[in-house]
Amino acid sequence: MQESSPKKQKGRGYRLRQASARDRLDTGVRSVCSKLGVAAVVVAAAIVIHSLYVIQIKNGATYRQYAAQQQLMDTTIKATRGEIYDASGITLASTSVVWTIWADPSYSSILYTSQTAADGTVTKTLDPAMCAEVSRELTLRLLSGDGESLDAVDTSSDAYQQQYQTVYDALSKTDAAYVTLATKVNNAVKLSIEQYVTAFNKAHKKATDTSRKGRISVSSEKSFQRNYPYGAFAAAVLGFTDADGVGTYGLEKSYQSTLAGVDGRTITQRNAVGNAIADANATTFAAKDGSNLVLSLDVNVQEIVERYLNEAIAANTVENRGTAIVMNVKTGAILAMASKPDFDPNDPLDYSTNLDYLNELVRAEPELYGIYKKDADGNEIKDENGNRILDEEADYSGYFRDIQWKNKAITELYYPGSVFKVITSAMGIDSGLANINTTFTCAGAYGVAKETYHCAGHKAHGTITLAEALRQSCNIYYIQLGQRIGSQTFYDYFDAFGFTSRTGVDLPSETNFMQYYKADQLGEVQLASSAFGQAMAITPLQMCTAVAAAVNGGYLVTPHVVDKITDSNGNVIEEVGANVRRQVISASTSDAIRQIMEYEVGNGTGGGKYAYVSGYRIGGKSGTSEQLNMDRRTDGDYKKVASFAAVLPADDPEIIVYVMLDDPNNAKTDYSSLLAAPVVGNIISEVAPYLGIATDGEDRSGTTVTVPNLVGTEWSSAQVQLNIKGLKHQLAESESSQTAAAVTYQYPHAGAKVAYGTTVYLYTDTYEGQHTEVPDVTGKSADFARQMLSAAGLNCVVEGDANGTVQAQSEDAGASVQRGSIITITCG
Amino acid sequence: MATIRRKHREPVRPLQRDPGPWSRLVIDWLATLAVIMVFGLVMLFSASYTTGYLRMGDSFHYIKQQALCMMIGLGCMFVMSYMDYRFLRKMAVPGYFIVLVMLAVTLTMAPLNGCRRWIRFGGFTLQSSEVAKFEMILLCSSLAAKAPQIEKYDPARRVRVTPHTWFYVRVWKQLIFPVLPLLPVIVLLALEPHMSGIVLTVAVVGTILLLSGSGGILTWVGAGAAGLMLETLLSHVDSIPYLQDRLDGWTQDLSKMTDQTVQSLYAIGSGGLTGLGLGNSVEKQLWLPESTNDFIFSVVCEELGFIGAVLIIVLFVLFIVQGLLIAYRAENLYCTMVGIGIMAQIAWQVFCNIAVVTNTLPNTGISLPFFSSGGTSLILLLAEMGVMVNIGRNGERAAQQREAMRAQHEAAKAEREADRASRTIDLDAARRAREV
Repeated sequence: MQESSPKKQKGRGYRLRQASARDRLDTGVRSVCSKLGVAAVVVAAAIVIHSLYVIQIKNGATYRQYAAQQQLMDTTIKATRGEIYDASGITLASTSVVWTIWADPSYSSILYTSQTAADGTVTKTLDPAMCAEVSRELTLRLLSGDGESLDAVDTSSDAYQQQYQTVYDALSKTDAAYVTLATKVNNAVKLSIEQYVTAFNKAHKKATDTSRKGRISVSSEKSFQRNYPYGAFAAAVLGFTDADGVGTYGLEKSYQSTLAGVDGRTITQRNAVGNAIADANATTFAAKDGSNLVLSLDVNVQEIVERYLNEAIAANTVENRGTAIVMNVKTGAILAMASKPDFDPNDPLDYSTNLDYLNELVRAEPELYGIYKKDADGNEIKDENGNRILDEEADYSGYFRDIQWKNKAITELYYPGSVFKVITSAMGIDSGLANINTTFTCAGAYGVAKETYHCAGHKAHGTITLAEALRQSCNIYYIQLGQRIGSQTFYDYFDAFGFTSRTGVDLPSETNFMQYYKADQLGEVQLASSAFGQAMAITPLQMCTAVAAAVNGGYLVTPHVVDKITDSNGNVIEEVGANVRRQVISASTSDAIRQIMEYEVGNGTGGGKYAYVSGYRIGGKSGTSEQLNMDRRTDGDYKKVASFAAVLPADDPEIIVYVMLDDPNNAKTDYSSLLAAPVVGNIISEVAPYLGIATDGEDRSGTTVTVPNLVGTEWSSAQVQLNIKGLKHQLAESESSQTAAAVTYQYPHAGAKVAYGTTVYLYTDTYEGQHTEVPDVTGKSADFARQMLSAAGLNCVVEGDANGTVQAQSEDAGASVQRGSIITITCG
Repeated sequence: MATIRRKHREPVRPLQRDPGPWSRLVIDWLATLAVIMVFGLVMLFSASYTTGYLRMGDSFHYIKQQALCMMIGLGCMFVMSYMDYRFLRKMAVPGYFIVLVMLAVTLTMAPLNGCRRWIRFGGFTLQSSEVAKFEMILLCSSLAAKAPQIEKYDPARRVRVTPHTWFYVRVWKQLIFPVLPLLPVIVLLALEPHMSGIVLTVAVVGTILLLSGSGGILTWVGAGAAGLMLETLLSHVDSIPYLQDRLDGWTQDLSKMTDQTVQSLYAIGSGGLTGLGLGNSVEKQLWLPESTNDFIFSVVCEELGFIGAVLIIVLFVLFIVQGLLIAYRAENLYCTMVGIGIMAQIAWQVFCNIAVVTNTLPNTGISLPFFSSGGTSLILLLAEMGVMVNIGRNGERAAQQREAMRAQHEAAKAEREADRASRTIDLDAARRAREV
């Protein structure tokens, strides 16, 4: 009992009253407590409002800044690299979007089972069956090509096994957050993989009877791939890009900023997983795609040039590569420029196809490429004679790549040799110190100071004119001409012809280390050597521009590969026209030079006769120079450079065709007129008709030519014979290598009297000709009939009225005849 | 007081036909509640639609659930407002055992994030600590209201109480005995573990005792002392790793803060004075963890700025003060205590939540009433609001009865006065009458 009796507790003044359900809170307590309660609520509110004030108003700017930094997304929009087209719009380099497929194995929970130990460490155990299944599915898609034809993938192939292993190994790294599964994957495959991953994750959202619950994390990243559809073609001109798409060689490098365009940016807000969110203040700077290059280079010309250059290099064992240039002499537009052997820009690091060649080249030039044995401290080891020892085991791959990438026409120097005599001639005539009939006497030897000079083969040419001296390539004549010109004038012209500075071609890495004597250094001996081109090291392209200036009326032009720059819609942004740097010689001098150069080739009778192609007026000059600055050959002679420059038409030149073979090793000859001139001739025989170069205007339609016997002759020489005779040639494609191959069969046969311009079909590995079916040309016009027959591999002789239609053909339609057979069509 | 003691107990029906008249106070309080609820729903939608879309694939995922629970909650509120508080009081003791069983069952459930806090049956989850909180309000109020009172014989006299009596009434009966049932609940919650649940339950019970004058000055001194010792206490919890983790993140150094707190501060700070505008929060784009739940207030601050945040705080202050007034006007001590308890729960949750998001208190998982997503919590809160309505209406009836009784009393007094006056002879008047 808690209730106390008041009587028992008298004087205490209180009692304990049992609580009642109807009791209310004491008025006094209520008044105090309610006030205190309200006060507490207000104080609490004041505390949090103060906190908010501090965060939002006082320090708000700081937090806003941090938040903005964290939420900012600055995305780069990659500009698409411009394409490169040849003169006729054929794509030489293009860019395609490819994808890198990557995975996050640590997030791909289906691939492993994880156990958490007591101390919190997680142990992941790979699920090999699941990993194998996922790897298999991904590999099938990666190799399917289109992401759909999974059944067509050969799972037993090496490619499959290799790709499968790559994927499996990558996915097995269960702790890694980023592994690359495949690169350069096309869009169809990427989409297929995305679909697979989405479907897989949906199916494994919940555990089923057959599998656990989990997911795989596979994503893709966009990247660009540069494609060069023709592979190792004009490679030194085009160059290539590195893995990041930045041009590192050739046009890709020199026009990097033009091709690359300007990457765009998007600045917006992002959510925590990195995706952009709707943001009214988002700023986008659109990417400006790269501009396209339209080259003056023509793939057909380039193909012809590369074909014959390759043949010449292989046939003559040219050890230090060769180069060829076809250039418009008036504008400087380069139609073809080749350095062979070269590389495939799609895979520039690969030198395997040239490995033997490069190995030999590097071994042959230890002074340039030698890697010597070193001890542990990096000091070179010397043998007993104090010479360094070549390290045969060294890694030469850096040199290999460097060599195959270099554009020989602009990066390497050589002694131009007799080709330079064209320039010396121009100097003499233009300065008024000589003319085309100026004579000097060659006695076979000529002493200058303590040096004695000879002509090639120690010939004595007697008293000859300038034209004859050029044709016979008389060194002694030119030494005397040089002496008459004098050091200062010689140097002034040398400088004016552009040999002392870069040509300014729009290609990178053009060398500027030309070696030559300045006016005050040109002593007697130096001047004598310079006069016939044996005292200056220049680039092949410099020689081309100088010869071009000598024949085009005297104008030194800047060579260029890029003709036009167009934007992504094809609109021309910039047109690169002829850029005349200066007039070097007078038009009349130029005319004289054209005459003596034409005399040199001289209708197939001059010193450069092998460059002659009947029907065209061709001027030229050969040059066989000695590489005085290099180690000698094994036969003790200097290494040679065979070069030939031809211009046509000789009366008003359009193009220069230049071929240079560095260090040819042909057992029969060192003479350029036999090494380089035929290459030029063969190039002209195909390029001139293609370009529509003006012919000599002589009507030879009625003439008959006797077909020479070509069997047993090397096919390129055989073609040269045909060029000179005015017959066309057609080399049948052969299974085996055609390099330096002898002709085994020809049709029409030797001795046949055929019309001028008839095509002779040559074979190198068969003893009987191929047959072809005669088309029905009756009722067609004569021209069209000729084209049809030509396309079928047949020659055609028109009788009757060439303006009428074909009334009869000598072989019936459908008859099988030898390729090269002459079909006579009667028109009326 | 003119109360009539009933010796026998009336049978109590669960539902009252008429809980009592609506008072202006209750209606105002309900209006404030309605504003808060609508506000809360709008803000939850704003805060949750991106998370819903990105995490659940449905922008309406959270808001649909919340709206549904709000409907159920309003139903519960309606029912509870007609449930007789006497019935609730009767059910307090059996309910206590049910809660203990529930808490025990919770411990058998599979842990989520290392804690066992939810009972799952079917697709429905129930946070048992929410139920426990409400039950403890009812039980502790019931026990504290049963404590005997010290009654003076003569209001004018100073009373001296013997220490034994003082201890027996003030300490044992009014303070210790009502909180004894709390101990098993605390133990069970500590096993979950659910520290914020413990803190909140203890704080709510403490507030009931504090604001109902239980224990007199002792409670206030104790509360003051506890408040002063809080910091010291917090620095000595190293032994509990779960708590220590949270406390380590409680610092003013941004680089050492937990990511949640950092993001919360970024969100609040980004709001500035006027905010980014409704729906424009960036932090809710998965930056801020629990942006739909414990940290929804950060999103409110970011979108509505300081002005919006203060508006919400003022609304809550208004709501709580109105609620307390309802409690103090209640029919009896038990109702007052329950009312204080319910409002204290809301007050503590609001305070703790905002203090946590502003980094004033260490990170605890306390949600913002009527704003945070969470079905159990919302339904129980609305049920409690129903109890408040019942208390308020019963209190109003009692007040009107008291008023009527006072009026009756006054009338009787006036009648007596009149009667006496009528029987009183006015000599002057009598004389004048006689002279006439």
